[in-house]
Amino acid sequence: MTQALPQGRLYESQKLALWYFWVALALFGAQILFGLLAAWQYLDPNFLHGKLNFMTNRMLHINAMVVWLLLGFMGGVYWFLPLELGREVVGIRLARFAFFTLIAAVGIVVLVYLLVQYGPGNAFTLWFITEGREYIEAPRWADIGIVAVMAIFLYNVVATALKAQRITGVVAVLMFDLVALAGLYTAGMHYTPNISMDQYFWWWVVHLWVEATWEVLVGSIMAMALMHLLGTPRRIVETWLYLEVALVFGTGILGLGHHYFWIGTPEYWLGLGGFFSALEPIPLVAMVVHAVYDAGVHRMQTVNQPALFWAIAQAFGNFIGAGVWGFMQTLPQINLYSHGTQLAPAHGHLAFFGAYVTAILTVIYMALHQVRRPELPRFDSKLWKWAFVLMVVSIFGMSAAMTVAGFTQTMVERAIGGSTWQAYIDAQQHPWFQNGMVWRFVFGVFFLVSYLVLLWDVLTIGRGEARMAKEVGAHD
Amino acid sequence: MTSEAVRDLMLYGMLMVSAAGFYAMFYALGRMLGRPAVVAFSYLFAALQALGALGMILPPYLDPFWKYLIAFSSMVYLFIPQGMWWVVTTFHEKEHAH
Repeated sequence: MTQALPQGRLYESQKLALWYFWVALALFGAQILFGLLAAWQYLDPNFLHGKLNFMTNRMLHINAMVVWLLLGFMGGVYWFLPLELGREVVGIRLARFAFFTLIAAVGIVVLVYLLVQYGPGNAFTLWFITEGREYIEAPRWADIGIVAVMAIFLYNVVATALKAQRITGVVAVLMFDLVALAGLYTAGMHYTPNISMDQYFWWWVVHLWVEATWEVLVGSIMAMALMHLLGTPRRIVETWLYLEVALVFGTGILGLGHHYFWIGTPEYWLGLGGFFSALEPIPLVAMVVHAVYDAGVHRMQTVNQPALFWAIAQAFGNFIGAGVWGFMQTLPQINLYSHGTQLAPAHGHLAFFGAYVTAILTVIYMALHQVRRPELPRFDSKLWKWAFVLMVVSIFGMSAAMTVAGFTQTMVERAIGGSTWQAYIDAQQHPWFQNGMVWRFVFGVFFLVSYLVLLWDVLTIGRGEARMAKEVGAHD
Repeated sequence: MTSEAVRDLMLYGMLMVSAAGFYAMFYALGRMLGRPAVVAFSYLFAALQALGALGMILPPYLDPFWKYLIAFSSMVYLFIPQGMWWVVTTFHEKEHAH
C-alpha cells in the first residue's frame, strides 16, 4: 500500500533529509576552512604553531570531508527512499534521534580535536581522544556511534521496504551496500601489533570503504536522482547500476591492492593490485560516452539546470579524478617513487570532488526545487553558474598545483635523491614545489569564494519566484 | 629505474588515459550531433592514446607483463567509444520501443 503525497508536500523523511543537507553544507565550509589553514601552513609553518597545528588542521579538513559526504549520502537516501517506495520511512523518530546523536558526536569530537588534540597513547587516548589512524582518527566511542547510526540507517531502509512490500533493484543494491558500509567501518577498530596487518585493516576502511561502498551508495542515489531529474526509465537506470556494482567489485576491490605495494605484503600484490588498478579507468571511459549521450538527448535542458550540470560533472569528474589522476601513479614502477607525495592529494581532491561532491550537490538542488517551487517550469538562477564554474576551475587549479609539487617530490626527492633526508629537504625547497604550494593556496581561496557563492545560491535560489507567485496570488 | 624513466612513464600514462577520455567524449559528441568531422577529430585522440601506450611499451623500462597489460588496455580503449555507443543507443531504442 503506497502513500503518495500531493505535489509540493514533503514526507517527514524528506524534511529530515533537508537537515542532513544543511549540516553537510556547513561541514563542507569547515572542510574548506581547515584545508586553507593547512595550505597556508605549508607556506608559513609557524602560522598558529602551538595553537592550531598543521596536523590538527589536516585532520579536521579530512574528517570534516568524510562526515559531510556521509551526511549528504544519508540525506540523499532519506530524500529519495519514500519516493522510491511510495511511503513514509519507517522509524522516522529513530532516524531523527540518530541524526541528532551523530551531530552531537561530531561536535564533541571536533571540540576534542581542537582543545585536547592528543594524549599519552594509552587506552584512554584511544577511546576518548583519537584512535590515531590517519584519516580515521575518531576516538573509539565515536567509531562505535558511527556504526550504530549506520545500523539504524540500514534498519530504516530495510524496514521501510518490507513495510511497503516493494523492493526495487535500486533499493536492493542499497540494502546490501549499507550492510557493507556499516561492517567495513569496523575494520578500523581492530588492533594488532603487526604493522602490516594493521595497514591491511586501515586500507579496508580508507580505500575499500570509500572505493566500494561509497561508490555503490552514490551510484544508487544517482540512479534515483536520474529517474526524477531526466525521467530516465527504471530499467535503464537499474541495469547501469548493476553494471556499476559489477565493475566496482570487479576492478575496485582487487584494485585496492595498489595500496598494499609498500606495507610489507606478499609480492603477488604488485601484480594483482597493478593489474586491476590499470583496468579501473576502462569503465570510467565507457561512462563518459553514456554521460555525453544523456546530456545530448536532453540538449542540456531540464527543469532543474543546476542539478543537471552537477550530474554531468559527476560523470566527467569521476573519470578525470579517479581515472586519469589515479592511473598516472598506480603502476608499482611509478608508485614506488610517487607514493605519499603531493600527487596523492591531487588525485584525492579531484576524485572526491568529481565522484561525491558533485553527486550530493545534484541531490541538494533537486530537493530545493521540490521544497521551494515544485510547479516552476525552470528552477534556475544566475549564481549557480558562477558557483559551478568557479568551483570546477578552482578544484582543477588546486589539483594541478599539487600535481606539479608532487611531480617535483617524485623526481627530486625520490628518483634523483633516493629518498634521503637531504633529498626531502631539496624537494621541499625546490621552486616548483614551493610555487605549487602557493598556487594550491591561491586556488584554495578561489574555492572558498565559490563555496560562498554556492551557499548563497542554495539559500536563495527559487525564493524570489516563490515570493512573486505569492504576491500575484494575493492580488488575484 | 632512472629519474627520466619515471618521468616518461608518468607523462605517457597521463597522456594515454586522458586522451582515451577525450576520444570517447568527442566520438560520442560527433555521433550525437551527427557531425562526421567531430568523429574524425576524435580519432586524433585515439592516436594520442595509442602514442601514450607506445611511450610506455617501447622503452625497456617495464617487464613484459606490464607491457602486455598496457597494450591490452590501449587496444580496449580504441574500441570503447564505438562499443559503448552501440550499447547505449541500442539499449535506449529498445526501451523506447516498449
